[in-house]
Amino acid sequence: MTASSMFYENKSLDVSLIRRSDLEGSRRRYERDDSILVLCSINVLEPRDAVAAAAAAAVASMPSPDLHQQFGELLRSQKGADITFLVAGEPVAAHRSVLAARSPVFMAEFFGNMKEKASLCVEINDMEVEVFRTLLYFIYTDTAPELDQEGEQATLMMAQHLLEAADRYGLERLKRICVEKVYTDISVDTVATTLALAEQHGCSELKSRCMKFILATPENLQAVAATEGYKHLEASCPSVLTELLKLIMVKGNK
Amino acid sequence: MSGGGPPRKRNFKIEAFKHRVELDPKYAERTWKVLEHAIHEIYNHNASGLSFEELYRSAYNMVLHKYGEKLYDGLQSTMTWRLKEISKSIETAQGGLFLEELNAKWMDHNKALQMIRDILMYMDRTYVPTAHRIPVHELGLNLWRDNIIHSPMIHSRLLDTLLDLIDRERMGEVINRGLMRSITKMLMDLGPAVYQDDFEKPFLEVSASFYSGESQQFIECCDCGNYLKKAERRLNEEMERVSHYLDAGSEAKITSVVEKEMIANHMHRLVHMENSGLVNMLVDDKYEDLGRMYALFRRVPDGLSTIRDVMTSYLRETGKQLVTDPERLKDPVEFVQRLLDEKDKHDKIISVAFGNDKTFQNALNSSFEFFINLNNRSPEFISLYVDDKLRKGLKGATEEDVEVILDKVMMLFRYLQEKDVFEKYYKQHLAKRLLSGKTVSDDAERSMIVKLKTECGYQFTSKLEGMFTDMKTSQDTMQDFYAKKSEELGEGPTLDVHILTTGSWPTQPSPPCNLPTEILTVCEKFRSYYLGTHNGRRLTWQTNMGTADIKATFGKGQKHELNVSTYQMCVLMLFNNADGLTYKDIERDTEIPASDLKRCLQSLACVKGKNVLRKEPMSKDISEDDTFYFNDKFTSKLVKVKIGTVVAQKESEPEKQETRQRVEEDRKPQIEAAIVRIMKSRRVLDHNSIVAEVTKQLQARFLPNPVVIKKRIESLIEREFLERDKVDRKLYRYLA
Repeated sequence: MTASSMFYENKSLDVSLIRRSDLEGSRRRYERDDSILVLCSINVLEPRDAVAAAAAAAVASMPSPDLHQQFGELLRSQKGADITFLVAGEPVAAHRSVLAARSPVFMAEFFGNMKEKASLCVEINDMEVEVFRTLLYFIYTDTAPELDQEGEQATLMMAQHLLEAADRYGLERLKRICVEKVYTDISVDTVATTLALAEQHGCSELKSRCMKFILATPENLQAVAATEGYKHLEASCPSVLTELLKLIMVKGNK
Repeated sequence: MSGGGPPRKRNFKIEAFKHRVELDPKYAERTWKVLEHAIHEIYNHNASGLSFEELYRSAYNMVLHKYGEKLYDGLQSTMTWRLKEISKSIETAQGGLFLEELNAKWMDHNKALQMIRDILMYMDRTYVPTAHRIPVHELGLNLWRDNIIHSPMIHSRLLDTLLDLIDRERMGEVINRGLMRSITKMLMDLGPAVYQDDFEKPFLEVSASFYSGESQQFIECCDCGNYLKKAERRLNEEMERVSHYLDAGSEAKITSVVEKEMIANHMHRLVHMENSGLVNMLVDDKYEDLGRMYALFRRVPDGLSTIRDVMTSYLRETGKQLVTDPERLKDPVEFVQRLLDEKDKHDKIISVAFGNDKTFQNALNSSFEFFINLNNRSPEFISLYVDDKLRKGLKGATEEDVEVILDKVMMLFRYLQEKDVFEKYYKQHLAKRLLSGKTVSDDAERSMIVKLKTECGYQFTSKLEGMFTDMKTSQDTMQDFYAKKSEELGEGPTLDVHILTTGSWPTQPSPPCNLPTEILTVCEKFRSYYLGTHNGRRLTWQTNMGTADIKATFGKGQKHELNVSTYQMCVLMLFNNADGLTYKDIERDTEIPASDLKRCLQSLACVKGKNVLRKEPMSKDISEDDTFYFNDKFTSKLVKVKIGTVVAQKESEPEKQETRQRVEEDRKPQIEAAIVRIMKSRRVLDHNSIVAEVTKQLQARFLPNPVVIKKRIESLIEREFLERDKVDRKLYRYLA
């Protein structure tokens, strides 16, 4: 009889068994001179293992990805910068190709057929320069370290601004990051403005979370109603208040 | 702070984000006007003066402040108005410039649409999906379609222009293919439905009537070959047209129009065309034309089967004529050669022109099978052909040549229904070859046997192989005989005996014949020697199959050595004792049967150069009143003169009947054996099933006659192998 097994490193051994009675049995096929001959044939699959080992070693010594660092450096050094933004009067330099690669709006702006195709300078109104810089940093490095600090009020505010900027310039991932940030750090002081933002920029999850927060307790509602943000909400999105009212009535009937 | 980089710790206060609240009631209208102006400027090719940043932001703000609907509707009406203006300018374009103008305006519109979409990107991304409206790009295409393509003034003119250009190109003019490409691409971009409804469908209809007319024209004035050339050319032309300026999806549609109009509709007329149709092409080996016909007809339903059917009936007809033409049947070897040539010719046609199509090969095979079996002498003739080749035809041929010819013969053999008849004749002919020593190559003989064995099994060839064995054994026996008995024999004539095992060789009657004394003596010595060494055997001399070498001295002392048959030897030896003998004398003394004797005397007295006897009267035929004299005056340039008798000709009528009868007799036991085999395993079976099964089992050898099968069944019932069922008369039962 013949049997074969594959033996791997770190794998339990396959064992093939034969009944003693079959060996010694009446037929005595395998016995000769009261002994049994076992023939082992071993195939060593070496080459593949050797390659795998070499590959593993190669991976270990491979440098880790550093695309974002180098682009970040490009932004900081402004080498080869071919466009200057005037953000609230402050000049900010950047590279058209990088911007266009990362945002469809910038792509249309710099590689379309209008004035900006050939101009050296673009004015940006109604955005804070710090926000714009953070936006650029994200564009170049795909990271927003600004938002990493936990719990600080200022960070939350930055997230709100950044959310608007991301939506304006078509940066979905950044928008989502901002939504997450704002989502987790909701507080009585900020919920009203966040709600307005969510409504205007189509963030339905964020919107419902805000509304839930406001209606969580009567104290919340009262506190929120007293904030500056609430006044802003009244002025810019009155329809949201109507929705809130409806929800209160539903809740009231329970 | 001019550099970028990770923002340092802020040293200013950032406030909660608040969008500006718009209080100006005229805000929306104002902003819209800016955008509307921009759209017009874009269409006027003044885009480079516009600021993307401003326009994008304006649209962005409008959407943000919930004026998306106003923006969208404004876009729609502005673009519509614009397109209506464009439509007018296209309509006024003169003649040839119409298409160019349309194309140019289309290019413009696409560029404008791109820019407009860029500006309105935010609306496209946010307002459009929520309000379930058509995205900007698609809207632009739809508006173009509705206001330009489907505008009554343009719609039909566009189609007419396109079709007119295509028609002119078909008639040989050169047209602007690039422009055509651009236009059809435009139609595809507007939607496959637009392309199909506004262009492709009418295009196909017009093409159908064009080709219908053209094909009618061609078929009246062209012969088949030329017509096919033209059809092929038009087909290629259409495919090329599609690749240059139509949508790829149109290829299958237009080619099927051409195929239908030019080929399918005229298939029968083409194939049967007088003097140039399929049959003429086959006869004249017009490979190129046939290949073209095959390639074209392949594309249409029933095309190939039409060709195949005509070819089959042509083959059957010609074949039938071949095998029933009495002229042809006079020379069997020629007959078979002609069959082989026909097969070769058509094999070549199928391989060169029909791409070795298996269905055609099958049609060829079935046709051959059909007509070869129309003549029941085919098995005999094929055997004669092989006989001729193995006697002399293959002399000097290489081993490969031999194989090729024998393989071709085997192909014909396979077509035979009555393979057992072939076997009988082959045995006869082989016997004659072996015994007269007239075979050109032993290897060739062996090779043929092997082929037959491969084809029909061991049973078929076992006896044939026995014949070869006998020849070898005889050689050994003779050697032994002379080694042992040389002193005893002394000066007598030398004997060379072939001992034939009765079962293996064709049954021959052994008619009487009086051998000369000297011969008898040595024959007896051999007989006693042989029976001494082999117990329980019986020997019978076959005097009709032997040969003899005689030394003869003629009038002026010339000595010749004559090689004659045994019969001839008996006759000639008589003239040692008499100078002249009558026919009747000879018949009485030799006791040779009349027909054989006549042939024998004819070859001795009536053949020029071989007339060792003189006959009176000097007529051509032998009559019973003739007298024969030893021909003193016989001369020949050769010392050794061979006087043969006619060998292995095709049988005379009575001989043929006899062979056929023997074949029928042999079939009876085979049928019976098959019936018994079948009934033994099935136990109970009805009549029709038995007939079917028996036919199936025996088809490799011959086609049994159902009447004969019935008779055999009845015979078996009589001998109590089977019985009829008492209730159902058609049912039989096996009796163990």
